[in-house]
Amino acid sequence: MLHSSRWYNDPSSVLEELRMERRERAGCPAIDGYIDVEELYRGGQGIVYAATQKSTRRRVAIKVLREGMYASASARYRFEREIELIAGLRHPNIVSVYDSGVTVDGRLFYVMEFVEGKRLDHYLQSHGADSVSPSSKQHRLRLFSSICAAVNYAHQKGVIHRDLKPGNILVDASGESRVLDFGLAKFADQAASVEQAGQMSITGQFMGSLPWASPEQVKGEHGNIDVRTDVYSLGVIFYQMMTGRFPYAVDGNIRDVTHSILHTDPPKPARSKALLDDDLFMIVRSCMAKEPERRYQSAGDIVREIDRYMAGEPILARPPSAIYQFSKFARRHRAFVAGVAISIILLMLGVYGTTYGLIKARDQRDRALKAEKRASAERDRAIAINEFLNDMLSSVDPRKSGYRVTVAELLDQAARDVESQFADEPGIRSSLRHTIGEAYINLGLYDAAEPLIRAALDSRRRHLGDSHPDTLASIEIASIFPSFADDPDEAEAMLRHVVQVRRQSLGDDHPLTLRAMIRLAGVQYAIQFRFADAEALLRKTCDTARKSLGEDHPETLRAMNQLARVLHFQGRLAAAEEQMRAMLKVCRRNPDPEYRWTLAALIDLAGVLHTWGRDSEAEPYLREALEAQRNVFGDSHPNTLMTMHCLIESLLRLNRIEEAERWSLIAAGKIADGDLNIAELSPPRGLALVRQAQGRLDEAEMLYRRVVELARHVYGPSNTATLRAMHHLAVNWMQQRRWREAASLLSDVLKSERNLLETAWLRWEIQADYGYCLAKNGEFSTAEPILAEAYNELARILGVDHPKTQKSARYNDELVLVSDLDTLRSD
Amino acid sequence: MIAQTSTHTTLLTRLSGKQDDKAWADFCDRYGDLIRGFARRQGLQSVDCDDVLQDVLVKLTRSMPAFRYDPAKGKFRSYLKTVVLRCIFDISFQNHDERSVEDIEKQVVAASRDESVESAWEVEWRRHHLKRAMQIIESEFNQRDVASFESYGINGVDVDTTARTLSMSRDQIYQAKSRILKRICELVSDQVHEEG
Repeated sequence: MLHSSRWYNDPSSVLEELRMERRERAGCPAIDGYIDVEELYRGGQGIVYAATQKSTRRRVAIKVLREGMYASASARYRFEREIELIAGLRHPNIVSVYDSGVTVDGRLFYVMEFVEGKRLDHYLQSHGADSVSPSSKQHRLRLFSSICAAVNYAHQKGVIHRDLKPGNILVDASGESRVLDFGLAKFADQAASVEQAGQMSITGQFMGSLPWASPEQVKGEHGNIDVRTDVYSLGVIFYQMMTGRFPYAVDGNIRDVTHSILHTDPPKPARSKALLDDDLFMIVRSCMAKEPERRYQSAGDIVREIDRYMAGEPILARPPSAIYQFSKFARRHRAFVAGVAISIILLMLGVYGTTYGLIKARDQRDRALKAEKRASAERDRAIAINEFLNDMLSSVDPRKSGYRVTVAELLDQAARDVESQFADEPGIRSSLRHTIGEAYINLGLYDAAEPLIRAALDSRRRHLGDSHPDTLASIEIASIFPSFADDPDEAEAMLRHVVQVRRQSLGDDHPLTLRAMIRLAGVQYAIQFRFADAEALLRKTCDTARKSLGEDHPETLRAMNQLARVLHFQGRLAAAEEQMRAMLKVCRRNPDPEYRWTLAALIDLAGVLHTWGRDSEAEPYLREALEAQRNVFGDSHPNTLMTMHCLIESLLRLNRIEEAERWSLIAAGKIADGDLNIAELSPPRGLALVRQAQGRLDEAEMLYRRVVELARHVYGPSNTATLRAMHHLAVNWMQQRRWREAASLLSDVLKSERNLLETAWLRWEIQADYGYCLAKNGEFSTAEPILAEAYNELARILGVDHPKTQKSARYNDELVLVSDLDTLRSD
Repeated sequence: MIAQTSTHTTLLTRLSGKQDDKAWADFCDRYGDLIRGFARRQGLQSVDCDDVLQDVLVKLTRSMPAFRYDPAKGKFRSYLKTVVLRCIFDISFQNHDERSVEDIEKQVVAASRDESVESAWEVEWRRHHLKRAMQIIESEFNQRDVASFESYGINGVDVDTTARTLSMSRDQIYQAKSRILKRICELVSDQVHEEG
């Protein structure tokens, strides 16, 4: 009717317009028991009047709903039932409903508390949308938290709001929030005949309610509307409160806005502009996930997150990382942190596992109550663990110096205490075993870590099942041990399981899902040597992470880093270099407070350049990385030692033997006797390289023998690290012209062919040396095909100009020369 | 029979020229209810609605090129709607800075396309035309005919009661209703036509 352009040509339309106008002008129909009625506000759902209740003399607001919407008696009955339910809500942040009924002319109304206040958006505007002062931020957080608490309370009473938006939230003079219109959107929905999106804006007010509507509302899935629908709207409101903007464009036509709601994730606001920092942004994301099961499961979860945030504690919406947890802890305990810094980083880790769970309860009340109960169990667990940590930390003797001693003591003591103190509490025991295991891993103490991680995994599997988030976390961390599964395929299957469960419960683009995919790719290339599969998976992961989390998110960087490594190990050096440089660029462009990803990019880029023989280009990157590591971790940290070793290798290639020697002595001075673990192979190896380059072959041999011995002890006889060490020893023997011994050793190495696939060229490099030893030993006919094959493979993988290929070519040339001489001689 | 002494275009010309209190009053008289009613429908309190009316007048009067009405460019109806929307947003987002000015601009554009906003504007626009038409009806018809139209035609009082109250015959009442309604249609049609 409204859109017929010639309405004035139809006398009956004109008459109807006149009648409607007259009815509206007549104002609020008399309502028994109320006087001094005056119009306050005219909105989409109806008109709100201020009035005085005769019996109590109190000021009230009366909302008279639009007429013509509730024609049927059953609809009216339902409305009154609903009002009864809402009238049962008694909460300081909910506008109380006192009364309801039907006006003389048949319109529904309800009477509520009169609040002298402003709409939330107007209130925030008048308090300066761009004020980024801490007080403003704190105030907004408290305000939002109180709104969530009110919504949570209603949820527990079985009432869903369905139309949360700033227009339905009032802020009174003292800055307290009041949520109104609970549950009434249901009636608007019912009145609207599908094409919900459009209808919603017709029944809505100014811009309609569309910008705050959840995906399930926009899709018209009324059966799927539950408490999490409100959680979504709260996310939109929170984004607005903290940025002054909508999380997506709402100024297009209805179809565009609908599309945004269904498909666009809220953009991360510019850091300087908004009050929304990384953590708060994660909270928005967790509210506004497209799928309800990936959101916070109750408004109470949001309240607790905000509380945690305001207390400076880690939030749950974020995948825990050691450094992140530590930075939170450090902020709260500045003075204490300096001493036992590293140990605490590690121990905090894993304590707050992610608590996303799938709650299938259909009944809203159950859902909300269940979430409460779960939260309280989480709380109990966190308290027990915190107490344990406190006891443990206070038992550390601060006079002992050297972080390694402290950490080792701390962890060893912790590992013992866990077993005795929590014998009857498998949940807590598993959490702590997992945590302490991760702490050992971060120190490179794999031997100590493995049994704890395994025990945590076994126990969690038994008690929680294979698909519980905690079990998944344990599988994920266990996957870094080469021996964690009986065979590589089992390892892959387990990680596939992690990926699959997380996909279903968290979605394809959740950081935890992406991390599991990266780990899966890790197993594929590092254990199964399926480079192509790993590369494909990492490319996909990289794209998803970049799109959904942003280029500087840790999982995006992790994926880029791993992808570059896979390319590197395949010998695709140009592609690897490009990838590494891209990653470094991202790290430099964005703040990387822990320097973690910048370090990874620097070291791996240097690694690619070294493989390529471009050591002079690698050197500055290594020096930058080394300087940072020495500052951050100290000289004795395994990571620092590893980087020193890389620098030594590059310096030797550049023939700067003295500098290399200086570094190798620094590194060697840092190994404590009896320390056997992964990184500690590098100091004797670095020194051996230097001695070899200096022609001090005896000394080099002794050092190499020690490395082989260490490697066998730590990794077992046929591990890649052991085989590499054996290769180095053989090269030393070659320099000593002990061809037969070298050939025999290399022949042993090549027997474990499968373990030489770590990089695509390693096996062929060793084979070339082996062939050369055979030839030097006079076994030309055996040597020739071996050398030819090695050369061809190296040329294919690394190119004919690569130093390793060139070396193999020289072997071939020499062989031809020698064998020709031999032939001549025999003639 | 055209009763209007000044069209809205000449009214606007007078407004945008020198201070003309009469033009000001005429404009308020003619468009005040429309603008206030629409603002009210958008959720503004009555004090704010008065402010909006005043702002609209200021915007129309001041030499703001963006607000200069050009009949060749489009309908007055949508022109006025945009001006009013902008004023409503300005009032709603006081203390705005440069960024929110830009936001307001966007929201005005969005709102002017919003169907629910358009519906509200159309309702008020019709009332505006009907009100003007009724004013003319009152000058053109005798008081008793108009009263019978109000009673029987609009307020829904039955014909016998109306006849008794106004001492008219049923035929007279039917006739008055028919003539007045026909005339309202003509008047509104003229007004809309003139509006451009």
